[in-house]
Amino acid sequence: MKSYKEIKAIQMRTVIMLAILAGLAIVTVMIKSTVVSALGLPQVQESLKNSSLGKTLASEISRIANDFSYYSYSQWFGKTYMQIAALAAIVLSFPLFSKEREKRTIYLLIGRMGRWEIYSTKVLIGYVAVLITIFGGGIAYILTANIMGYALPSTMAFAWTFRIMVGTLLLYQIGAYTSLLFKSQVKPFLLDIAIYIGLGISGFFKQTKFLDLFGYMGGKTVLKNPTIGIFPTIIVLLICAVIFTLGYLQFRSMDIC
Amino acid sequence: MSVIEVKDLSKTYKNGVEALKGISFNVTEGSIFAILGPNGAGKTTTLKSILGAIKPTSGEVLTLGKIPFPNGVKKVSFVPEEKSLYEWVKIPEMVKIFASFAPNFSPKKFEILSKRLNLTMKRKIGELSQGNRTKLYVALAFAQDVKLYVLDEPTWGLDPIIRKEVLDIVRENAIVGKTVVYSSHILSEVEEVCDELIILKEGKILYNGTLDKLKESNKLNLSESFLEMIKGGEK
Amino acid sequence: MKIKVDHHSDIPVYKQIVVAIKDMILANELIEGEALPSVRKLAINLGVNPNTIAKVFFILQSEGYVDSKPGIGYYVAKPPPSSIEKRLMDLDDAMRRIILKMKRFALSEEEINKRFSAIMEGVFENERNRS
Repeated sequence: MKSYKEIKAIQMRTVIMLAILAGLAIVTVMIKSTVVSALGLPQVQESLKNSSLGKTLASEISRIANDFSYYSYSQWFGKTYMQIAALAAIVLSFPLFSKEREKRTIYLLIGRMGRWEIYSTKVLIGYVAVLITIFGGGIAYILTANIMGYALPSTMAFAWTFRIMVGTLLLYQIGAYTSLLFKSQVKPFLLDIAIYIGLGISGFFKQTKFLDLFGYMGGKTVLKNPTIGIFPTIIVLLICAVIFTLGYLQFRSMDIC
Repeated sequence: MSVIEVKDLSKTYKNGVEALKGISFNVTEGSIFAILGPNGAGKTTTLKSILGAIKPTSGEVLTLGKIPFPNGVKKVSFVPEEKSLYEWVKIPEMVKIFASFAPNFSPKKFEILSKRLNLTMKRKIGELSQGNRTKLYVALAFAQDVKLYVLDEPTWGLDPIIRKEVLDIVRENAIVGKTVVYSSHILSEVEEVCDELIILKEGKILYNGTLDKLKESNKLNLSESFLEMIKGGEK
Repeated sequence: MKIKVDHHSDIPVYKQIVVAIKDMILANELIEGEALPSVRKLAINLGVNPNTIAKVFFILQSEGYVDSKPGIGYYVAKPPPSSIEKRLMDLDDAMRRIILKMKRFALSEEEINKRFSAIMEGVFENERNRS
């Protein structure tokens, strides 16, 4: 099986990212009561009243305390889950090509496999790893919430999980592409972080709002309207396909030296 | 019959380095073909062109009758200059990984070769010496039953006894009709095995022909002829 | 078949082997009709390439030292009658080269003759003692 090597290469990183994500999911549910009681302390309430931002913060806090869906959005799906998912996208993608070229192990593959075989096994195995990792994190949160007896509409939870899976695929695909561009591993890693920050910032401006991938992934709109957002989902997947194709064309015409 | 046909091949890399400036040669089936030259002469570029790892800037390469770039030709086994393997696994796992994508790989043949080369199996790749990496790479490459073996410095870091064993393996493959193309800077070793050779300097061919002809026309052995030509080119 | 091959000589390996086999045939160490090892076997034995052995057999056959039959392979033929004389002339050449070298050291004809006789005596003496 030609994908054996790629599975071996990515399995450790997948397991680690999955463990981190699932662990944080469980912790996030578990500490809910602690967080809420800490925010409810008289001292905290007092200082909130005295600040100008206090009123909005106070209402935010009461929402977090009373509405588990909102807590899930603000502490997990719109926050930690998405951040770790982005991290997982980088971790799973940056060495794909760059490591083989840096370490010169690519010559084991070149000539023994065609370019399409090399490219597709590498990138597609990563897709599977991303889906497993992100799905695992989402499920861990949903299950823990269920066991702890919190009310979390499952359509909502699954809508977020689905969006973040799709979004992370795109982040991963971007990472797979940057991995092609360099012979060293550090450069794609740094470039990925820069691109993700850029995507995050673009959400704050009207003109670049359409680039707000994180807005789609951990969107607040899901609170009101728990759907997967078919239109943006299709767009994101299309962009994935475009980058995947561009990456292949690039890899196909590349000198391996 | 020609296993490799190189016609007027030139290669200029993106950084402007002109590695090859229009070289032509043919490699006949069943021969042991050496590519010699001082550092930077274009040996590795030539091997990588045959493999299909790099795209010719101009000219043509046919390997086993096919254009090798970009997909390579399946019936070729390559040993690169750097014997880089996956550092994170032990040897048996490395063999398993290699077997998963290398065409016509025979685990049995690998076992025989690794014994002949005196390879210790239990170690992690990351802990192997340069010599052991070379042994492992050579054993993996020759455990593939293919028509053409392309070797870049296949005795790098080996002691004389194992080096001789590698030369024997090369020769045995030629006996059963396989073609071996190889590059080495150890001329005495090349002299022991090669039938035909090219001598490259600065991306051009200085000599193209059989070893016998070289010796007969110069009345010199290979090392002497080589030095003569390389220096001659400098005048 | 024992032949010493020097890969690092300026004389091509095939030539070294051709000469060695010719000498064995002329010296009757290989007898007419005797089968020669296959290309593959001889290549492995001598540590040379099969192409080289193929070339050796081709030359030996074209000069009448060996012949081949399908299914049997190469065997020793009766070399042309002039071949011993030809080989001796080669050796004469070698001797001539040595004499010319000695002459460079200003040795007289007599002195050179003396050295030759001494060596001749030594060689034949040895032979007698052995038998």
